[in-house]
Amino acid sequence: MVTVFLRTVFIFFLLIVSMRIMGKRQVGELQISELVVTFMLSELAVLPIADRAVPVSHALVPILTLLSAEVILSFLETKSNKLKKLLGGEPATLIRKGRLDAGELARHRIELEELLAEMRLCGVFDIADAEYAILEENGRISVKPKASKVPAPAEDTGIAAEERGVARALIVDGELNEKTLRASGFGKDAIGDAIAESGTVQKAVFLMTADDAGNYSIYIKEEGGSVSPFSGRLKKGGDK
Amino acid sequence: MKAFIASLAVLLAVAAAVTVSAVYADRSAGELLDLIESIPETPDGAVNSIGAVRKKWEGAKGVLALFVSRTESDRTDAAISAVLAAAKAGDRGGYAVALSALRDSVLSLRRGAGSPFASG
Repeated sequence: MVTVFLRTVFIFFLLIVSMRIMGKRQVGELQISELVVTFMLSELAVLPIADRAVPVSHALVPILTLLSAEVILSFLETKSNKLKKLLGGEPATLIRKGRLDAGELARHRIELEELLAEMRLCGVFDIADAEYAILEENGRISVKPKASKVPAPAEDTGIAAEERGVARALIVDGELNEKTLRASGFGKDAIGDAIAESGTVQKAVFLMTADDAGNYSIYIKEEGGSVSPFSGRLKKGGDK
Repeated sequence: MKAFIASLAVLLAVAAAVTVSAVYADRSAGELLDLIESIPETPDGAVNSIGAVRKKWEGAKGVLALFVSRTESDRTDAAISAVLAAAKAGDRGGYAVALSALRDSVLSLRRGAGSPFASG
């Protein structure tokens, strides 16, 4: 049993290091070679854990070989477009200038319903609103809406738009996050005033966010699990 | 670039380790087979020769266990014990069968851990 434990710990850390070296991409964004390596790694890693008769070297050697080969191949792909196209494929245009390419859909075995669902995820709810839809190498579909369907940028309409920066989570489940509070540049007094304004106490705050401009939202826990929002603007100054 | 160089180094290190282990397994299995070939075909006076095989096997087993499955090494252990027992008992039939099984198990070890290009 000790052997199984030690092997599991060893293989676990080996896989963590391997996946870390391979990169941070999510499963849905894996390239073909990365996907193959990931599947193979999971199978290989289990062998010496499940069967004590199998020496660890029977997993170690293929895991290190696959990992190195994957990193080397990825590097070579960045140096050669031909190799990149050969191994990773090319993006395919499913909708070009508003015209759906049924041939490309069939070639990539994508059903119309699937395309519509992916378009909805991109915020385009009508196929007539899409100017381009491109099937990317990692299998995702990116969609460009028609210019007439895109909201005009503030600078084009002459409206003065405020840069609001990033909204940070200052309080999560009643706990004040000192680090994000410091990063926000607001003081505890301002946070306290905002909570008082919302008519609650810190412990009852489910989530409080504030952006760089001071626009805050407080989500208050209520009985029955519902959460009600409250918004306002933090006062600058005071303690920091 | 650093990851590429590190990966290339790891790949070369793995290739080197695999080559060294295959050469070691080939050599050890070859020496074992030579010793097995020197064992008399009959149990008379074979105990010393089998003792030499066992001594060689015990020396190589620790390293070979890193590359071959435990099933394989246990099989060789059992085969050596069976030959020795048959030799001591003077069982001619059992001795011949056990000797053949020992030869097969070492050949199997060589196939499992050695180079695929090695003869035998």
